[in-house]
Amino acid sequence: MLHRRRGTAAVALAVAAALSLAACGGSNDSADKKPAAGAGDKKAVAQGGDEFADAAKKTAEMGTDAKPGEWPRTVEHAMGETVIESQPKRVVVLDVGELDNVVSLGIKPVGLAPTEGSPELPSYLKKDAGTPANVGTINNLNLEAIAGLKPDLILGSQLRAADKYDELSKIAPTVFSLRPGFTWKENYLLNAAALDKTAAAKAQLAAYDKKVEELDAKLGADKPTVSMVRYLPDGVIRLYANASFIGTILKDAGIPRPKNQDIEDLAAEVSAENIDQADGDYIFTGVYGDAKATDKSRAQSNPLWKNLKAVKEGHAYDVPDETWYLGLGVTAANEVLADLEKYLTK
Amino acid sequence: MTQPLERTAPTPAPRRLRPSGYTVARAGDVSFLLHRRACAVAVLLAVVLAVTVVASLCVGESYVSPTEVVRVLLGQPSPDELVVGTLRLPRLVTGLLVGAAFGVSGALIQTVARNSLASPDVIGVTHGAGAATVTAMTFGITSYSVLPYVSVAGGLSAAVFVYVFAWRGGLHATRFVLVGIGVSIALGSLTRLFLTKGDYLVAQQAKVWLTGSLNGRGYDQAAPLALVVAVLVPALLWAAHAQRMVCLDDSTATALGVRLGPVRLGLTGLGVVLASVATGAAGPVDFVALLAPQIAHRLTRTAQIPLLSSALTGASIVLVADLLARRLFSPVELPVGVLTAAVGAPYLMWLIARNRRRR
Amino acid sequence: MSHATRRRIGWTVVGTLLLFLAVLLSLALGSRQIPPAQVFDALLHGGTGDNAQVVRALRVPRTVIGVMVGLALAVAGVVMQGITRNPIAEPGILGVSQGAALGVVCAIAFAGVHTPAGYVWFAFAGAGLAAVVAYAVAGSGRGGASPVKLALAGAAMNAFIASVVSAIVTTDARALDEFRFWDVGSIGGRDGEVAAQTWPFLLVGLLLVAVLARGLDALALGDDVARGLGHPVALLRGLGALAATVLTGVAVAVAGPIAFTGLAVPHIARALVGADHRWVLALSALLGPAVILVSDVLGRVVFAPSEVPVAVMTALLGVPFLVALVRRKATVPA
Repeated sequence: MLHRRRGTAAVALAVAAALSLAACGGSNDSADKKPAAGAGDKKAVAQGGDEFADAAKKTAEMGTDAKPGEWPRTVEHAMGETVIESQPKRVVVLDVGELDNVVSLGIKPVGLAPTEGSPELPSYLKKDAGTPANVGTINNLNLEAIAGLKPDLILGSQLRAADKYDELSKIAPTVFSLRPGFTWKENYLLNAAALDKTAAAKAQLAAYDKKVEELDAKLGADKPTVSMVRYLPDGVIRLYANASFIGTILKDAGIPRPKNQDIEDLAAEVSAENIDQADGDYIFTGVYGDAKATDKSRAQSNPLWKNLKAVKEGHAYDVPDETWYLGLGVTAANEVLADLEKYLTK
Repeated sequence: MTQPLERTAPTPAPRRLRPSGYTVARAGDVSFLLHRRACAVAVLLAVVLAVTVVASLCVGESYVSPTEVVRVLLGQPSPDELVVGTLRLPRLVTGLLVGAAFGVSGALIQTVARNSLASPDVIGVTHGAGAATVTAMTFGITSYSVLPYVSVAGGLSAAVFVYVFAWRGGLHATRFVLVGIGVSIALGSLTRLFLTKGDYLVAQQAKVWLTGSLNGRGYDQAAPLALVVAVLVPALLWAAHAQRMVCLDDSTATALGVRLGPVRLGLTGLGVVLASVATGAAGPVDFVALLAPQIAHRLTRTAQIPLLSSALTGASIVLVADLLARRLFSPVELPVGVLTAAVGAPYLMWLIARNRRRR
Repeated sequence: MSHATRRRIGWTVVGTLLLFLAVLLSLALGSRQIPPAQVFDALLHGGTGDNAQVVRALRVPRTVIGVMVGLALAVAGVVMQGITRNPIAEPGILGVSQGAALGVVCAIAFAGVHTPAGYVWFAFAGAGLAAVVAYAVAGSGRGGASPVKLALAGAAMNAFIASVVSAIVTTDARALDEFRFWDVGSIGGRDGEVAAQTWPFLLVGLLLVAVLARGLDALALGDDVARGLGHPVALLRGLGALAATVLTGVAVAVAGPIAFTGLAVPHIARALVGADHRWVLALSALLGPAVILVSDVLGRVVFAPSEVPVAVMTALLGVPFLVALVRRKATVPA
């Protein structure tokens, strides 16, 4: 009997060991996937494999075949197809990106799910957004509150709210992009397709492109490299890379990035000891949330910070986090362009 | 064996065969000893649960009258079909099953540990499930059809881990609990590590999950849970029977030829599976597994912790907590786990403080 | 010199060497690779190069803070185990550290206090309250504060604090970011000034413990014997609790909650030098900082270039220790 018990214990131990080994194996993978700052060629994937790289292409393929003014229309999107009967008038947006999208198309949404960090409207959208009701927070949607608003269109993204799509689509026609962030232009056109505002959205994007070209021309052929540094709570310092909202804007303008940020990922992480890896001709820093909590002042009192080339030359600027790093739409992008022009042509 | 036999004489012959407070129920050739008070309590708890269910369906961002709720439940056309049938009912069903599973799980584990303080929250099951789920989420597995299995695997392996390391020529409840607490702390740290290292968007979602939430949980989450509970019904009937043996002390059991080891292992395994599956469906809703069996036990005053009443109590607790979580800071919802912990943790302290009867 | 004394001196020397080694490691290793020669050069001669700056401005304060935190936690652990006569007593497991962290959060969120010297007081209050409640809860009822009851009371305390924090954070978004900083204990990214502002409190706590050392020996023999030897038992306990609270409060105010150091170090020290509290305290004061520094160094290199907070490392390293401790017969009489 004793032997048998030992046997059971041994088997259980082996299982536990195997599981923990498997877990360790997994964590090692992640360590490899995490882009080391400087290991610029590593193609890192934050979400679900190749989907990350393909997200923009896939989102661009979504939308509708309906002609302008044609209702009902069928919109193909990340979760399938949705039929919208008539011009939506009561729109609920589930993220800042969708908010920017509809507001820039002249629509005042009836409901908004703000981020956990800031329950108020982003200041750059405040004057045109009207007074949308709060429907919970981005990660904790209040479905009943959404239903109570009697919307006729819900806009969101798969990454944020895939698990609530079934319920949402029963409340109102729901159109989801794949993810917020670097796919912002494609998301914009998708949302516009659902609202029959494709022409307006294209005009907005054309205006953006024109501004980009102007900036491009103004900066000339010999553009400075731009480094994007963001301070997050817990002493985490992120260098934002190509697969981010700000990354796409810099790329559009043909502004070169330091090698360690010229990677197909959202961001690379560095510690205070390696802050010299954040160097570039220009540095633009943002702070997530409260500056006191995120340790920015201490990181910038870091002696290495003062030794950075950009800092020595006075080319390090603090920029608004809500447009540069939290921004996810064309209005924010235009603000960023204006800031870029201001600082880079000073 | 521990039941004191009827002392008052003279008594009618049939009554001498059964302990006081029991009624014999017969169905054909089979007869059961039914504890009268326990039955009454079960009925009472069922009524309380029914009231809670109706309240959960009526109250929300908009009030729906009970008659309208009944119309929806009966499948008649109603303007409130969307709110009641689509939004509230699936959430309610999930909460009901989660609460019942946690209640039974706690009852089983407390029985085996012979300690009212043991519960799946304490012995690492929920933290194991939490760590596994957050790990999976940070590696890009965000599908709610896969995550429940991940958390079940995590809960089970944490339990096996605790069991193995608490084993030392026998399973001692105290050692089990202490190892469980240690492993819980370690897994909690690991979870935080993955939260900070993972994608920021995913980390935010994982945080909501980690506090235990019924928001957006529906039949997708309820289905695997319902399936597991259905499959386990025969096992639970066995458990109700086996519970009595476990209440015997070791020497009595040996004298009766009952091998307690496998029985204890079976009951613990059952409890761990239930807690893991429930955690997979709604996240770690803390302390329900601790509270429910205790309340039920105090009400029935039986020798064993009553399984059915624990399930009913667990379901009621989760539903009431979820109702409050939805309404307190409307339109922002609290995760239901915040409320159960806010009530459950002080209750655990109170239990520890007045833990006089046992040991 | 007796054999026991020689052994004690021997282990104390070994402890000193270990601490010295840990300090060297902490100065030499990090997410940035700096050749040891440059580290020494920077320490001895200063310099303005990037590497020298990193060593002098980042690693030296970090190491000093690590030493302070390790010292405070290990000594607090010895005192807690001594006054409760309970092998499982420890700031992290008892929820005292979390109590202190909650105190700090309240200080920042509600009282608008932003300097370490200001919020140590809140940390003391939080730690004291949590310690009193956890111990009162565990100590009432028959059998007194058994290991399992203390651990459970601590687990309940931790869970309760977590739910309070969740509720605050859900309703007050700003508090979320404030709290995230204190959520997981870390000695990286802390300003050297923190050490300058809090060392007097650490000193007070340590002095108090030094005075109590003989009393702790007497308490180990049981309350009656201690009373018979002329020790004021209640006063001893009260002062001990005060010292442990101050020490934990300092550690949390500086670094955030860090579990298991206060548990493991006293046990290791006791296994090496026996039960005499003066020796146990001395060796713990050497080993505690060593443990924190080594854990921190591991945290810096495992996921380089980013860092793992030291609290995560001590929890992962500490659990096997707790398990081994619990498996010993003396802790849990079967």
